[in-house]
Amino acid sequence: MLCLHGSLVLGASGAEPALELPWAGGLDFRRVVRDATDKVFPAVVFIRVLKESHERGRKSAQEVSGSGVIISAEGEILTNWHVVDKAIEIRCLLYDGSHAVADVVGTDKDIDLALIRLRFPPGTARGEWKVAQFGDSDALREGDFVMAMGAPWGLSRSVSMGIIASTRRYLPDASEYSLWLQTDASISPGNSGGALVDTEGRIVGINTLGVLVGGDMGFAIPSSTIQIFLPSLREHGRVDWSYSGMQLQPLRDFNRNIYFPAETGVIVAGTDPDSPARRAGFQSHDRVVRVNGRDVTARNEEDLPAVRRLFGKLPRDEESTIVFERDGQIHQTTLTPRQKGRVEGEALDCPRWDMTVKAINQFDNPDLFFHRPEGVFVYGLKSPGNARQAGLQAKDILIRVDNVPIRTIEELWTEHARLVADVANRSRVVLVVLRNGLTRQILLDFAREFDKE
Amino acid sequence: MSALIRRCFVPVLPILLGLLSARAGEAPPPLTPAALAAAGAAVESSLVRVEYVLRYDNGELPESGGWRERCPGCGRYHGTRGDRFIREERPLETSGFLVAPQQVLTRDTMIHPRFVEAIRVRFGEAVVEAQIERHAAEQCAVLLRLDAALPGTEPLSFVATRQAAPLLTLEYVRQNGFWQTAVKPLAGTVFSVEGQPGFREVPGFSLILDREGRAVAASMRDELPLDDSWQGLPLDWTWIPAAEMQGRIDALRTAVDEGIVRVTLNFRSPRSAPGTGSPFGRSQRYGGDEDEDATERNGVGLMLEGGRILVLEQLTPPLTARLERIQVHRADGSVGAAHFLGSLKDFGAFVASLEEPGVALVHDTAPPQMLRNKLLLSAEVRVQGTERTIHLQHRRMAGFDVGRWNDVFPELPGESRHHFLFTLDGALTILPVRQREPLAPQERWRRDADPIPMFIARIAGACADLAAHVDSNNVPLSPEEENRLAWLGVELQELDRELARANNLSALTRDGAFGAIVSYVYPGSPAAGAGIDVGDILLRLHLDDLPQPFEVRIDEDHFRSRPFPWEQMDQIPEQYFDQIPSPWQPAETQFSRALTNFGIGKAYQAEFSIGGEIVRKDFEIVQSPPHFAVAEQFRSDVLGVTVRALTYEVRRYLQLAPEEAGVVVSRIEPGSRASVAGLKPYEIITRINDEDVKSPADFERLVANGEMLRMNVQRMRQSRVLQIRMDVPVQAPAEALEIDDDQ
Repeated sequence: MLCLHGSLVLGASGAEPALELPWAGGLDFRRVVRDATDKVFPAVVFIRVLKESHERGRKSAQEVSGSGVIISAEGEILTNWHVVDKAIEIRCLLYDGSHAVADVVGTDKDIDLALIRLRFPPGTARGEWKVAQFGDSDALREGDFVMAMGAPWGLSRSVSMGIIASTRRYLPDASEYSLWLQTDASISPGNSGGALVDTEGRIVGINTLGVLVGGDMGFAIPSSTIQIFLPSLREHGRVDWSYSGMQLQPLRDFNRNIYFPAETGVIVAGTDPDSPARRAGFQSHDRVVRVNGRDVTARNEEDLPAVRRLFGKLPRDEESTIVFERDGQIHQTTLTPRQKGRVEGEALDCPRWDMTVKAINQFDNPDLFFHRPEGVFVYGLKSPGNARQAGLQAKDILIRVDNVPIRTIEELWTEHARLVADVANRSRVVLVVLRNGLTRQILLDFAREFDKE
Repeated sequence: MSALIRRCFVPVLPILLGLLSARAGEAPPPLTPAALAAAGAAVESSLVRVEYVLRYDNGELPESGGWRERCPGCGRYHGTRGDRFIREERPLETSGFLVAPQQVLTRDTMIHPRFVEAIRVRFGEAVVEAQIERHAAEQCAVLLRLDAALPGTEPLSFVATRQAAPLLTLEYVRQNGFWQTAVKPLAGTVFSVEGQPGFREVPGFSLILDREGRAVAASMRDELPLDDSWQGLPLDWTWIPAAEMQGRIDALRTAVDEGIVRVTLNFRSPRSAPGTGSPFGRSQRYGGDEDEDATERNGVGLMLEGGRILVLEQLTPPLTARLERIQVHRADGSVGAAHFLGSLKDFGAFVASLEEPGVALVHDTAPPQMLRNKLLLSAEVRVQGTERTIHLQHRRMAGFDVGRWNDVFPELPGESRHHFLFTLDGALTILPVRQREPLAPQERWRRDADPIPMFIARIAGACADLAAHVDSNNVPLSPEEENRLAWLGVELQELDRELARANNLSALTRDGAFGAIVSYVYPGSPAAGAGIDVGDILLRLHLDDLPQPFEVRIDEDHFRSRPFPWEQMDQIPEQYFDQIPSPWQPAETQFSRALTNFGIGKAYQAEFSIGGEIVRKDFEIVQSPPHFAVAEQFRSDVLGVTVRALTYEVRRYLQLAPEEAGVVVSRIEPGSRASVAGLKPYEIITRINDEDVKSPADFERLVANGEMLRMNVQRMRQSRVLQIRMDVPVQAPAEALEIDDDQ
């Protein structure tokens, strides 16, 4: 494996005599690729992350790998949120073969972006790092050549080549705030966080998603989106979205054959219960045309992320003025967004019960939130394990443990600790869970130690 | 126990005394084994073997109803499976006594003649063919006429005078593979039967000899009168000649043809609940004749006096509910209609009135005990699909059995599921009918019990006084009512062994074999009225007409207990929409079904464990409000969507208050306007063109007017607005093709 790494690196960067152009006045494509590669490749890092995971029913460390690209002389690296999320330790392998540890500066789950920073080598004030420059993703056109640089499948540092397949790809399940660059350059697991590079050798995107089956479809966060949020990540460590609970849909939906008779504005699909938008009195089918004096329009679904970003960046706890149309009349009202806050609940390991739990989060678990806005649900089940044997299922919401009501992770932690400490005297406990909207009693017998070797 | 012993002993005493006195008078030599063997040897040349060569008839297996003695294991009489002899290529064998040079007394096997290829009588190596000449009227015997005398044989010569004890019995049987005679003193137990003549026990098929080996009598049943009237020549018994028997059978054929007819029952198509296209939906019962979703069934009907017909089909309440038409196929080929009158509550049959009265069969009115050991006629009537087959023959009753409510039932050896029995005069006396099992509704995978033979007087009595014997809950219902369900107003979780233990209910539930935990109580329901709460445990129901309490069991559908895939709804291709089970549990559960079958309007007590206390609460079985499967609905063909009213369980799942408007999407036609617009099953349509949709009727009215429909749709917490053009075909309008890309 190491040998393979070495040869790949050598092959790509070795100083061989330049091949002459086969015809005059044309473009030497190999030259273009090589120039671009030479500019960005030294800034690409291979990242291995040790992260904490509660997925398999217990708190465990798990190692994943990804890519990143150095964007400043201070050692800032752009990568994906999903690469460094819940990281305990981030190790980076640099172009020159040296390695360094990095710390998280800021992350945002919604746009799947993370900024990390390399620790300076011992005894130095700053590192000698190659830095890649940003390009303009908005200038890209379908058909433009691009290169994906990263470490696919954990094979450190490689380049693949392709074209921009779409400059404005809307993926409703992937992010509500950003559009994607779609490319046919090969993007595999491990490429995540790597750079999508144009022929000028500039970063135009961060490779984030690939299609495992069927291939030839990779998606990258456009550099223009990144530029918007980079300062916020750098300064505040997060994007700090505002939440108004407004559900939006575009004026035109070709797939569903839905066309609203208007050229401007965005349609209110609905409002979340108990949200600022609901309190402001918005109704389904209202057409919002202006927000704080700025015209908004979402003709197609590709326009939605920008509109959502606008709502997401409204000043929180302050009144914003919204102009909308209802039944042919123009109205004006105020909306007071609040902080969006956490987008994922806290997790807790329940050893001996052989399960992990998570707090219900409105954004992460909307279906569970619907049944119970506050509470704790079963996140992972160890197999084999006591919880699984008792018949607990993932997404069961814990209502009561041993007749004690559970609303928060802390309350569950207390009960779990109390019961497990007393396991010698009592090893059975009745849990009341909410499954599919109905309560169930479940007897959890945790006498057996599944960890015993 | 002591009473039983006295009963057996007291009648025996006089016999013992008699024996003692005889011994005191003459002091005959003792019956040594040699003396018994010598007595047997004296009649050896009169003992023959009778062989029935059997065959299949139209795919049916022969079955022998003949019997000899009660089975020592179960105390009943068994028939013999005749097909075994065909498979093993050997005849069914029995013994015979040569009573005249060409006449053999032998056991009545009661095998239908269509299965008998030949009857052969064998003595040693000599074999001759034989025919049945006569049938004994009161013994289980026939007399065979041999085609020729068997060389080496000698007919029995019966002593003319009545002989006193000691007498011997001789049996000629094949045991352990070899033919043998068994000779023993006649000293059977004496029985005194209440209200009937007493009898003494004797081997079921035996020759009775005096101690010198001279024939005194023969017995072809396992009992003898207490006096000596049984002694004498078997040829002096009451015999019915074979020709006369055939005449009686022929006479019966006409009566049966008219009186036991094929009946076709037609049922309305059952409604299919949404989301049951998958194998994970509603469980199917056994297919075929017991299918509860059947639309046609054929069965046997018995013409009654007074223009009625008794249809011997056991219909459950859900099936009867859909009963639409009863057609009676008469003997002359005409088809008449009949109208439902009532289901018998104790028997698997119902009574209908005929538009044109038919010819009823005469019923036998003699007390059943008079049938004991009598020669009877039998009609085997089967209806399979549209074919009715009738096979007639003679038959005998073996004895009596006691069943439910202490009723005395006839006992027929061998096959009896399709057999109607008549006296020799053609009066109906026994018919096959199912008994209803009062606790059957709780068994999801139950299979109907076989019909059992029953005296006609019992059934005719119930039919004559219908009002007192019908189940008013097991009746045809209107299409709106046919899926009605009773409810208590709770959602239930099954109690298993661990939960029974955790709730200290192991002893009361046989370690969690039954019981259900209340997981939700519907406001305004009977349970809510009785103060039942979540966590209370329902154990049993007590109903007056149930012999034992009904134990509550919940058969949970674990597939449905998984979270509903709301987040994947947009990825599910439209052709699979019909197979997505509803997110809420179906209202029809084993429990609600049982409650419904017990009968709406009945009073019952429900036994709960509430906070560790066992509490009984009084309820009446009441009909539930409409549930999702039968909710008011409207299907819009132009949109390709079916919507239903928001029923109680849907509102519970979606946490909708009773006043909140909306209808739930229960079906989407693939490729329809609704499907193209992205409408998904189980979404709620709350408003159309800015008007609240409170019912399917509202929906119908609102989609009827307007070229453009604007629908507000909700999926859990997510809302959206659909805009559907009704005035153009289901295609994208032309302007949609101008893809706007100004970036």
